[in-house]
Amino acid sequence: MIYLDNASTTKPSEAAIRAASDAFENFGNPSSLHNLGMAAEKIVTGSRRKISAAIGVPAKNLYFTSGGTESNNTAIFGAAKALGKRGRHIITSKIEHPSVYEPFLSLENEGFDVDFIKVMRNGRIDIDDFESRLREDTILVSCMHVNNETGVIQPVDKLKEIMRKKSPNAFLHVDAVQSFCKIPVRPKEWGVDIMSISGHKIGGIKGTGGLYITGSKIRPYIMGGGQQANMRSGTENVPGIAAFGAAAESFGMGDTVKMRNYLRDRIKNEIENVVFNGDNEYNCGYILNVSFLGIKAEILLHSLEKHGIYVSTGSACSSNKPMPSRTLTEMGASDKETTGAVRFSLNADITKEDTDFCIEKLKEELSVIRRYMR
Amino acid sequence: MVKYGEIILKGLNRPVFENVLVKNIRNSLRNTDNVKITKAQATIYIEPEDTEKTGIVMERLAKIFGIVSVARAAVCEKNIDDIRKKAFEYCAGSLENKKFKVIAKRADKGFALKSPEICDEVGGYLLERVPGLSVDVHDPERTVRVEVRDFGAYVYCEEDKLKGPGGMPIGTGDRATLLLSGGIDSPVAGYMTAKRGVTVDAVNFFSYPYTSERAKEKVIELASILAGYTSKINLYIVPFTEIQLAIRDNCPEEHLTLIMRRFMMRIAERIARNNKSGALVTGESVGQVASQTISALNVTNSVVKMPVLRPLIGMDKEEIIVRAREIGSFDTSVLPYEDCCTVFTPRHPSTHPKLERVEKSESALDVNALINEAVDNIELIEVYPS
Repeated sequence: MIYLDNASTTKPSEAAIRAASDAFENFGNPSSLHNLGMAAEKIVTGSRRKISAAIGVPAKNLYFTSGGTESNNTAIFGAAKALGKRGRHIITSKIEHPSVYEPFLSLENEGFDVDFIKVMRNGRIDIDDFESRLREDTILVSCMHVNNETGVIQPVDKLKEIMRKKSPNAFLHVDAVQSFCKIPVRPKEWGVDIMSISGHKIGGIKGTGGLYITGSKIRPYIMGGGQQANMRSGTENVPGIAAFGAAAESFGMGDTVKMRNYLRDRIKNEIENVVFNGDNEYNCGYILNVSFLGIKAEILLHSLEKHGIYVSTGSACSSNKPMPSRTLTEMGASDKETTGAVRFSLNADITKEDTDFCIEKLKEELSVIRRYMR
Repeated sequence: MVKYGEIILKGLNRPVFENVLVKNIRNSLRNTDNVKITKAQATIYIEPEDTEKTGIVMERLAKIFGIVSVARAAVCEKNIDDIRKKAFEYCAGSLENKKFKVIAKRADKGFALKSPEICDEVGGYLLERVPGLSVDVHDPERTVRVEVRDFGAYVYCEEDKLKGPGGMPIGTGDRATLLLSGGIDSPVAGYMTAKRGVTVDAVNFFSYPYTSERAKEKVIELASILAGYTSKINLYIVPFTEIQLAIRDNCPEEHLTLIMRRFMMRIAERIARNNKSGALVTGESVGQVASQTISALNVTNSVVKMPVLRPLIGMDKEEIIVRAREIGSFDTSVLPYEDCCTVFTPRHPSTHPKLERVEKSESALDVNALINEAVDNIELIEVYPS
């Protein structure tokens, strides 16, 4: 199996599985006063320390959630609730993950004024356009660090500085789900107020996420027993959190970037009629998005799957009416480009042999499919 | 109390049909423990030992072909005192402030009172005791039925009866092979054929990687919905990609679909022959798409000798959708995995094809070799109700 869909999810690392398995033995409730509870609490505290260290923030500012989606929802709705009286203007982009985009649309329905930052052809947001949209009553800006489809890095390190001048009341939320552990993530230095991360994208297990919040500025989204300093109630998912911490500690990129670039070079040199989506200069190093013109990506996906090669398509196909990727469309890609877009997302397990095999099968299957497509 | 319709009209064969129906009922209830099934006087009596299960049992029964209605009845001794008390005990709760009437049937002619007298006795008894109850024989809101039969007297409310699907018991009508796609029509065609007592096998043509593994899962799900009525479906999955590519490579574009359909019919007939099935079933309806005009049907029909049943032939899409919703297949049929990739659909298909011309187009292919290859690699899945 050659798994090239690491932006969707990753295989849990051995360290993560071991940590989760140990935590299943320590089954106590972290809130219990007896020593079983203490043992469980230690696991949670240990993971919190490891993860916060990875992004250079104090451990007390990190909260565990059920995943990236909950983190994003909490950040956006929580900030809107906390600051909604100071202003009703919020900003994001149309290339965000649905767990950011949909909450913004929901807030728009509730009467918030939503602005979308222009996205350039290279997949980056337009900083000048961003600056021009900021207002005094802007209360929230949400921007992803790495785009999940193209792998393009957004200039999230530049945003707060601009915001301080024009929108001093606004929070900056960064969805760092695709960048955490892959490229440097420094929320404190960049002035990020709230940041989302996820466990299963870095070799953790599904159902674990994290939220970094500077101070307790936002309203909790899930209420109950007051766990995690009342910011996120509910008994902690101790095995998941244990795995999250172990995964963050042990995650490594190895030769990922090299292999990703090797894959790109070979496609570029050996396959005709391809378009690379997103600026290569600003790539996160493990995602490669390529449009194979004249084909439907889903057919290629299934053709590669026959050989044990797993990739992803940007667009889901629904009965003759493809649903084009929001990201690629927003970047100004043509129909042909969105229909043929395939995403390869690598990790450190991918060897040169894997990549060569992938190229070989890619050429083979493309020549068959291209023969039959019109 | 289970009533069956058309079977009653059968002459000397009637016991055969009844026995198959009883067998099907027994089969359908095999997971429900301790159900007593008896048959008398054109009625089947089903007595679950655990009365809490009556609801589930009734729902299952209401899906069995051959059954016209299912009533949950209270049973008592055959004397008028008991009948009156039972009627009150069983029906009073639903009669308050309602207009009602009583219908009695005396199947046991040895019973002392005649039907109108039973009505009077039971009706009068209820009228005296149920608050707000009034009689309306023309337009009643509730109809209390009393049936005096061989083994006892039965009381139930007409309005609480569940309607069965009607038709004939599966297993009384030979075997047919359904061409099952992931669409809306073919499951309905399969249902309508099975409803006439025919045991249905299904064939699906699978074009991986041009359609996905999920498309196959969807077809299995549709077969499982059908199996809810027939108890089991043998589903034959035929690998079809090589044939489609060969057609695409060698035949003119306007005939792609027709030649593809001809292959499907031939393969389905081959499967049918091997499985003692005597007819093919398709979801075609005249004029719905280019390959379903009369000329096109002639072209696709001419490669097989078996009768091809097309139960939807005169139905509009809207009518088919209504049936698909009733059967419960619609929501699965409209899942997007099918026909995702239209690689093999011509842009301008021939709508009034000439048989000779299609045959000529097809002559570029080694038809038998392609069919043998596909048939050798068939996957058989036995599908049960989910």
